[in-house]
Amino acid sequence: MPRIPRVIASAASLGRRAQAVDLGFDQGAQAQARAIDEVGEAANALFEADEDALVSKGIQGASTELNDLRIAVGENPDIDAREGQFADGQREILSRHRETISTVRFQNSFDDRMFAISERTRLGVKEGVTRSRLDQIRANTLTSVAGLTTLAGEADSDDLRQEYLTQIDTALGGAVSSGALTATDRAQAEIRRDAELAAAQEVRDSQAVADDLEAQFPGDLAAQTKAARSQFSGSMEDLVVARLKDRNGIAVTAQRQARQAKFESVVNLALGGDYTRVEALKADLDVGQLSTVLGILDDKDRGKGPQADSEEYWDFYNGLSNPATAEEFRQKDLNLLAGKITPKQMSQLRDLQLEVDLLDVFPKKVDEALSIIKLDPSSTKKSKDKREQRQLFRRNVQAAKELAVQQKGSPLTGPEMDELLDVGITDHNKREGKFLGIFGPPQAPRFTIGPGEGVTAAARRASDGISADQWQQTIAELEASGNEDPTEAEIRQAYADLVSEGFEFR
Amino acid sequence: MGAILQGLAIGAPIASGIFQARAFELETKAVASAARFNAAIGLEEAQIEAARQRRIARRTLATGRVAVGASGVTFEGSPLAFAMDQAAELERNAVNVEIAGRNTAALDLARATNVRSAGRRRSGAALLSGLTESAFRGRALRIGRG
Repeated sequence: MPRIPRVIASAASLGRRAQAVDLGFDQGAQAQARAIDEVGEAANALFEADEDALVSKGIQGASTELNDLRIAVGENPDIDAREGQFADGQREILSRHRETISTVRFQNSFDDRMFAISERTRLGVKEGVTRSRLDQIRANTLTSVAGLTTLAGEADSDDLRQEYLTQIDTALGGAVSSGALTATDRAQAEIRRDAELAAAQEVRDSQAVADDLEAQFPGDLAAQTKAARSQFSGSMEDLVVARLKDRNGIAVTAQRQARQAKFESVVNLALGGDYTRVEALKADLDVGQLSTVLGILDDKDRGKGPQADSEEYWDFYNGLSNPATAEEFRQKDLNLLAGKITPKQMSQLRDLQLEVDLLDVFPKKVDEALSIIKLDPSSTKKSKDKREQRQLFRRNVQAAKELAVQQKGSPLTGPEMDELLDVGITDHNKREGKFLGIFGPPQAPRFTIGPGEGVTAAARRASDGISADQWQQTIAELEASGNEDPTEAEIRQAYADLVSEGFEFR
Repeated sequence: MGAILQGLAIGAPIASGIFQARAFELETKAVASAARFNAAIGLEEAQIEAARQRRIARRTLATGRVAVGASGVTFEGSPLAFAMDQAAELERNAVNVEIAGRNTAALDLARATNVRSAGRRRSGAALLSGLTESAFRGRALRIGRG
């Protein structure tokens, strides 16, 4: 019997299981988040790189400025102010460059990296200050040693000299201990000191020798120098001979000046009064002078006087004016012409001799000054008026120069001569009003010259610190008290009295 | 330029956190929906399978009774006990299939619930992470005068 096949359904399957991606899970959202994150990372990296570059730039700029500041501060002569000045500048520079960085984190990075640089620079300044202080101590020590050495050289007694030498040793020892001087510096200073002391000793010795020789051969320079040259050699010989010549020159000049003054007074007496030949013989004149005086008296007896256009005057004048013979005529004694030329001619020739003499001292400066006041010495125009003005200017300058040299104790330097000539020009312009304003506004004078006051007296007054106004007020006070014609000494004393009384000058 | 870069660097983590949170939310919803869907399908499949098992059981028991009747043996005593045991085993199979389907569906439903709460936490964490990163960068790159 056939079998009918039986069918049974297989296991049911309703389809695969669902997954998140089937029901709205979006991978894109996560990708977006990652992308944004990456953009943020990139922006952060770029920003940090930007800030880092600003930090580097700030460090470079600040370092350069700090270095410049260090150099500028090092040039400040006030050593004590240098560190404060650098600290102020350092603060300003660091602050300014720090502000170019916007974030605190990188500002801190700037601070960290700049700290070492600014500290090194600050220490450099400090080191410079220390070095400058040591240099200053060094300079002060060497200056004081030089001064003490001079004092030791000039000391009157050995005890005093020894005291100065002890002080020098103390100063040098202290400077070496503090590091201001090296041992080499000290040795060099001591060598200089010894050399100066030896030179000073040589000067003292030469003075003593010169004194002895003058005592041995009074008034005989030839014998004195011969003895000096036979006894000494080298620098000692030179010093002694130079000293003997100086002294002899001073003595001869004084004798000549005295003789000349006496001769001038006798000539004046012979020209003007009832001077007799007996008085002339008793006047102790030399032969030439006596002959001149007697000639004057003879001319007087014969009724003749000096001629205004005498041959002797013009010979002498031409001789002085000619550069070839100027030196020869400068050496001649003008007094021998007395009686043959007028007193005014005598004065002119004396000025001309002085004019030639002046050419030896700053000739160009004097000529420039003369040009400024329109008295150019090279001018070809012959004008008696100008020549007299030129002589007056030269005489005043010469007088002022001699006073200045006397006050200073040594020859004038170029700038000092300039100053003196400035005063002379101002003085000239004051007196010769017609020259005022021609060459622009007058320069401010070094000191004012009062009415009726010469440049020499004004220079003397100004050197005492008394103004022209104060001087005039003092004169007015003296006049008010009955002294109509006070001397310079009286005015000076009256000024001192007024000052001590508390007088209020205008 | 520097300010734009600075703004991007500080703002990007927040934006990234927001997008990340949104992505987690979408994923959570999708996973939960899939779990619920799978639970329903699993339960239905189990019921169908249990029904099929019972049909197989009925046919097996009928075949047995026919074979016993054809042999001349009465369907009482040991043959009956044997058939009863067989019927019980076959029913147990069907019930097991039903239980397995219910358990799987229950697990899927539980998964859907858990995934939802885990998704909320991940979204919150992403937002917090973005904020933290932005705050960190903001502090690191803050504009300063001191």
